[in-house]
Amino acid sequence: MLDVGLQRLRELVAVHGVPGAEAWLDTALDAIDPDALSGVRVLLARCARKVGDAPLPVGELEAAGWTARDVARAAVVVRVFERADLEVAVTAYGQWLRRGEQGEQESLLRMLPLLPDPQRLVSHAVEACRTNSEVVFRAIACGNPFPAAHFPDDNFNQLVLKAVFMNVPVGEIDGLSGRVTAELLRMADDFAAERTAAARPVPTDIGLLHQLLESR
Amino acid sequence: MKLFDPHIHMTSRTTDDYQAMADAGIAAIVEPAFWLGQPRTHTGTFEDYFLSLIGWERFRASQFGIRHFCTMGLNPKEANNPEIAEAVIEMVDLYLEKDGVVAVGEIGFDDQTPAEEKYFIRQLELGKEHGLPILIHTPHRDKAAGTRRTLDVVRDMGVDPSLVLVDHNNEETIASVLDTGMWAGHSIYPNTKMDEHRMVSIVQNFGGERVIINSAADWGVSDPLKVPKTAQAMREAGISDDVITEICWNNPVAFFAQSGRLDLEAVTTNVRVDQTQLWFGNSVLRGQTPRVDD
Repeated sequence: MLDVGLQRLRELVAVHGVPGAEAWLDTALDAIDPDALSGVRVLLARCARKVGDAPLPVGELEAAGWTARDVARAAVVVRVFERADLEVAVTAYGQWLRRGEQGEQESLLRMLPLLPDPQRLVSHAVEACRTNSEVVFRAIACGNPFPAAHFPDDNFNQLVLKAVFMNVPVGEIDGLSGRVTAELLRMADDFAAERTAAARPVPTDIGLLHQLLESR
Repeated sequence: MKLFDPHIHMTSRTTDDYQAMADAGIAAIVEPAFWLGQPRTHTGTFEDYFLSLIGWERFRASQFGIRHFCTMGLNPKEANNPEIAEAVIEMVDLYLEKDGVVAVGEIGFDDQTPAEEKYFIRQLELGKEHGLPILIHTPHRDKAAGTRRTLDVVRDMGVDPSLVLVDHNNEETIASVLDTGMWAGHSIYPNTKMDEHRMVSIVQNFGGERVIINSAADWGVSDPLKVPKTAQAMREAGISDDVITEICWNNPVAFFAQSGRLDLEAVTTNVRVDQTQLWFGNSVLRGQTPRVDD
C-alpha cells in the first residue's frame, strides 16, 4: 500500500498545484468539522479549480495517473478519516463516490490505498467497477494497488475481464501477476472462444494473462 | 409485414426514432426496465422511471402508431446496491400489477454476485405470484458460464421454461437455452452482442421455434431499426417469410401474451394515431400539424 501521509500530500500540492493551492488547501483542511461533513462535498468539488489538474511526474507516487487535484482531494479525505468516527467517514466516503462527478470519482478511487481500514472500503471499490466510464474504471483498475491487495477473487476476476472488454491494457493493473488464477484464465479463454465463434478478433491481452501465470 | 421489437429502451430515444421505426413496420415494442447508464442514488428515481414506462413513454409510442408494453424489475447491476435494492423490490411488487406490464425483467446476472442471485431468485418468485413471464438478461462478461448458472437457477426455482425468455444469446449459448424449452432472445447490435449476418446463420442452423430478435437499443451506440434490418437480411438469405414472421412477430406476441395483458386481437390492429391528444397537458408536437388517422 502507499505510505503517504498528510504532510507529503500537502508538499505535493505545493509543488504541483496552481499558485495559491497550498494556502487554500491548508485553510480547507483546518475548516473540516467532523460533526458537519456536508461541507466536505463542497471542498471536494472545489479542489478541481483551486488546485488544478497538473499530472504528477512518473515516480512521484507509487501509483499511476495522479493529478494535483487528486492529491488535494486525498488530503481532504485523509483529514476526514483522522478526525471523524470511522463509521461516519466510511459512510460519507460512499456517498461522495456515488454522488461525485467523474473527476471526483476518479480522485476518490485513486486515494483508496491511503485510507485506513481497507476492508470497510472494498464494497465501494467493487461497486465503482460497475461504471460505464472508462476514465473512472481506469482510476480503480490501472496503477492502483488497492484491487490486487483487497478484492476477493470473484471481484478481481471481473475487474480484469472488464479491462479486457474495454480494451484497457491489463498490463496496467497493479499487482496482476500475483492474482492470475486458473479460474481467471478459464473466464478469459471462454471470452476468446466467444469472440472466435463470432468471427471477431481475440484481444491480445488474453495471451498476456497466460504468460503471467506460466511465468510464476 | 408487422414487426415487434421485444427489447428496446425508448426513454433514451427520440421521436425521430419512433417515426423511423413505424415507417419500417414496427407495430409493437416491449421496453424492459433497466439501468440508466449510471447508478441511481435514490429509490424515488426508480419510481419515477417506472411511472414513465407505463405513462409518458406509452403515450409517446402511441403518437407514432406503436403499441408500447413494458417489463418491471430490479436490474442486476443495481441489485448490488444494498442502499436501494430492498426498497426497489417492494416497489417492483406493486408495479408488476399495472396494465401493460407484460413480464418481470430484465433480471438475472451481471457480475454474478451473491446479491444478484438473491434478487434474481426473489423476482422469479414475484413472477409466479403475479402470473407473469420472465425476461432474463445474460451477462456480458463470463457469458457462457453466466448463462449456464442462469438456467440452473431457473430450473431449481421450478419456473415453467415456456414462461422464460433468456436474452442476449450468441452462437455459444443458444443451444443450451433452447434445450431447456425456454425462449432464446438475440440482441442485434452495431458492434457487440450479435449482428444481422451472424443472426441469419443462427436461424439457418436452429430454425425459428422459440427464437426472438430485438435491437436492445438504449442510450449507447445502438440501432432501433435492427429488427427490420435483420428481417431484410434473413429475406435476402432466402429464409422464408413464414419463418421471418414467426421470429419477428408471432414468437414475441405468443411469449408476452402469456401475461394475459397483451390482447392477441388488439395487438394485430393498427393503432389509430391522433396527435391532437395530450398527456397531462403535454404534446409530443412542437408546432407541427398533428397527424390524425381516420
